Amino acid sequence: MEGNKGGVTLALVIIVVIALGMTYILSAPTVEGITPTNFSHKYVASVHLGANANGWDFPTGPYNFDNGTVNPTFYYKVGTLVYYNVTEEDDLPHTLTIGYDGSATSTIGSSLISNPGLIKKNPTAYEFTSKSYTVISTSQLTQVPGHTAFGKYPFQTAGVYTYWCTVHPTTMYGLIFVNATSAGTSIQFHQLNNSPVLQNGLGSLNSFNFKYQCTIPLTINTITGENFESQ
Amino acid sequence: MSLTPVSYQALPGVVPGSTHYVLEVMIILTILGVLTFYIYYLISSRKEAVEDAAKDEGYAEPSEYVRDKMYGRKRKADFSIFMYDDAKSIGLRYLFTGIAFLFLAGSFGVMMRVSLVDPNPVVISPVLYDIFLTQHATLMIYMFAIGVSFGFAYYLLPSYLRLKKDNMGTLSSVAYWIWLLGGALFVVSRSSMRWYMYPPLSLQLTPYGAGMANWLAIIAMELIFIGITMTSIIVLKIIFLDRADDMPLSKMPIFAWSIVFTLIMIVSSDPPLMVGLGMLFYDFFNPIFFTASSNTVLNFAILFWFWGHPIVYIAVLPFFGLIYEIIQKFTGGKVYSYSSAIIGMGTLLIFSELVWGHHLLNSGLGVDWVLFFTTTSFVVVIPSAISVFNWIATLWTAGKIRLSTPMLFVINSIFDFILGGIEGVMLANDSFNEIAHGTYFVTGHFHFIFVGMTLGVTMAVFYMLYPTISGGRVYNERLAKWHFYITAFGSFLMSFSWSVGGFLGMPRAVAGYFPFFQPYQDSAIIGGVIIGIGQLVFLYNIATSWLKKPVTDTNNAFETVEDTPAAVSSVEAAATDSQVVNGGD
Repeated sequence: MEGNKGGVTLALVIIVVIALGMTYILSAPTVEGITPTNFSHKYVASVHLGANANGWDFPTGPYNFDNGTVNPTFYYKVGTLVYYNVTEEDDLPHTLTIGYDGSATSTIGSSLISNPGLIKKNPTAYEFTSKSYTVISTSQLTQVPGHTAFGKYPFQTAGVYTYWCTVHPTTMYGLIFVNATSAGTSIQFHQLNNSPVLQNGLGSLNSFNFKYQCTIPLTINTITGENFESQ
Repeated sequence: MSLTPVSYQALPGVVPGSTHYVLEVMIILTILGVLTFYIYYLISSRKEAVEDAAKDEGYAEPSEYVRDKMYGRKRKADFSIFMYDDAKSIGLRYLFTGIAFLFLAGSFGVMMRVSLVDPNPVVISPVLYDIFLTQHATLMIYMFAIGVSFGFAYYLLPSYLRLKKDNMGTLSSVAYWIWLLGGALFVVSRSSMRWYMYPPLSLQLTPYGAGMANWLAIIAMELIFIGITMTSIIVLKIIFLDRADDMPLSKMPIFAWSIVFTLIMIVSSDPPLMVGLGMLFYDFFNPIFFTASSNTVLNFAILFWFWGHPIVYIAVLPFFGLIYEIIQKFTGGKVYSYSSAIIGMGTLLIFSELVWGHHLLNSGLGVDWVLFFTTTSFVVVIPSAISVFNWIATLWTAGKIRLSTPMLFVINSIFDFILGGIEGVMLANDSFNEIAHGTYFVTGHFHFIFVGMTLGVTMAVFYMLYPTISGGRVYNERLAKWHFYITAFGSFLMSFSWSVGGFLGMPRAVAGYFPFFQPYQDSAIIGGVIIGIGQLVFLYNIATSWLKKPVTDTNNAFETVEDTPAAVSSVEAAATDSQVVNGGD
């Protein structure tokens, strides 16, 4: 170079590269978007899931695991606090992670409702724009079959949720539908009559939901002051 | 719910978030970049460019200009290195790009250190820490270490081997741009899947899992691999087919041999991972290859480490060769044993393909394989020790050693290599590995070698080439010495603190630590920041000394040795050949 600015140019280029790179990396999304805070819930539900690399199922006994029902779909009303009991059925690490896909009327939500098969294979693909929350993390599990861990999550927003295991996202995944109406004090199983899933030929699935998902009526409709801390 | 597999299909009209827009903008920019590159390619490969440049430099014949470029004694660094496709220009491109990525990835490393001032991740979130971790490792290995290795190969080999022709410029240029695009896209992906990309972590597409654009990171890795594979084949062709006729293999400079071994390692080891990455990419759409439920994840780990261990040697072997060359220049003598240097590095090539399993000793490969890989990992000490003792013997038998900055870097790199190597031998012991794997002991082991040798020797060669590439300037020797002492001290402090802390069980690659390890983390933070300050001294030195007037000729110790009558006659003979240079024809 005829000029004498070679070193300065190099330094400037390096400074610009570092500044752009740092800014870009530091602007990565880091806050989990659906971490519950100060949630007042109207309903309580309890689910007992078996964590199995072949898919989520309902354990029938401590060492007599039922792998027949894999990745069930759940239906809740808005304002339901769900207690999750996860029993380990194999010696692999698992998580129970919940992601919000959008409201039932959003494009992604209605697409999932009209065609739940879309969620197949890799549900995390649908968390691209939205938020996730790990209810039960790997550190809560012992990788000893039979061990049970506990977690809870309040469904504050109506819409479509995905639940999956981040270690086995291709086999352990399923859908949670939270209906749009929060009215009604008598707790019961949900709106089977107008469930969009039912209309799409998947209504038979609800039978086992009814069997396993006991939704408990509360004497006091609203419990406040539940504090959820992010894990 | 029916479990009938339904093939993945994009949802119509997915509502994009801001990150989605960023990616769309990046894709548009990429397309624009490709178009710009095509125009650039049309311009840069035109014969007129060479003729104009020759006229500017006062040459009547473009071929003479090209010949002088090719032998490179006058090749300086300026923006024209991005326009000309001769080997020297390509070399300087790789060198400066590698240094830019060194600073980028180094800043990520310093950021990680600083974030560990507190046992809890209070400075940056664990998600960001993971991103910095991934980017630091990948960029340092693929963009810095490989980049500067290619840079020195392209820059020095034409002089060392007195090439007969230099007609691979256009392809080399394409390979360079593909490699650079891959590196840039990897940063854009903001992936946090670690540099070994294990599924199912790499199959996560959540912002809080391992990065939402892991698919982009995998494409970027494939681009990097395409680039470095092309370059490897081209440079192998240059070495074996284009070197001067009076340069038999048995008399090739040791650096050329080290490059040969490096490139053979690249082309023989990266196909498994390139295939593995293709399968991994398919798994985004239809996970059939590496699913945790069927225990096939370890298959990817094996495909990775079949490449992943050779890459570790690829990042140091060229610098083995450069150390031999630098020692010869600063002692004025020959290397103690030429043949054992070649044998040492050649055996390292063979063993690099046999020891990869020691990265998976605790992954359930079975005791037979563990014994095999442990044994080969111990045996790999022999070629490393041959090289180390050869360096020491060369220094020992030298009449006089000039201890200017490059030589100080080299001596420090030998010292650090011995320390890091001994830690590596300890880790090869399976029973110790069971305790120390996944701790900072491993980090200390390879940072001793990478900071000491890869970074140190890069700086040594850069200082030696500085008068040439700056057009006759000299760097400030006092600042350069400061650069050396600061870097050497910081590197030792950081790696040694890690080694001690790791020996006590400090887990690596996590955003926090138990307060028990506070002293080791604190001293490592000080060491890491000191290394960063040292590189700023280097940058300041280069920037200010380049501003001064040229005071020396542009010859340098690396290339003037070829300025012998034999070399000159070889140049004259080559000039009469019909050369095809720069893609001009």
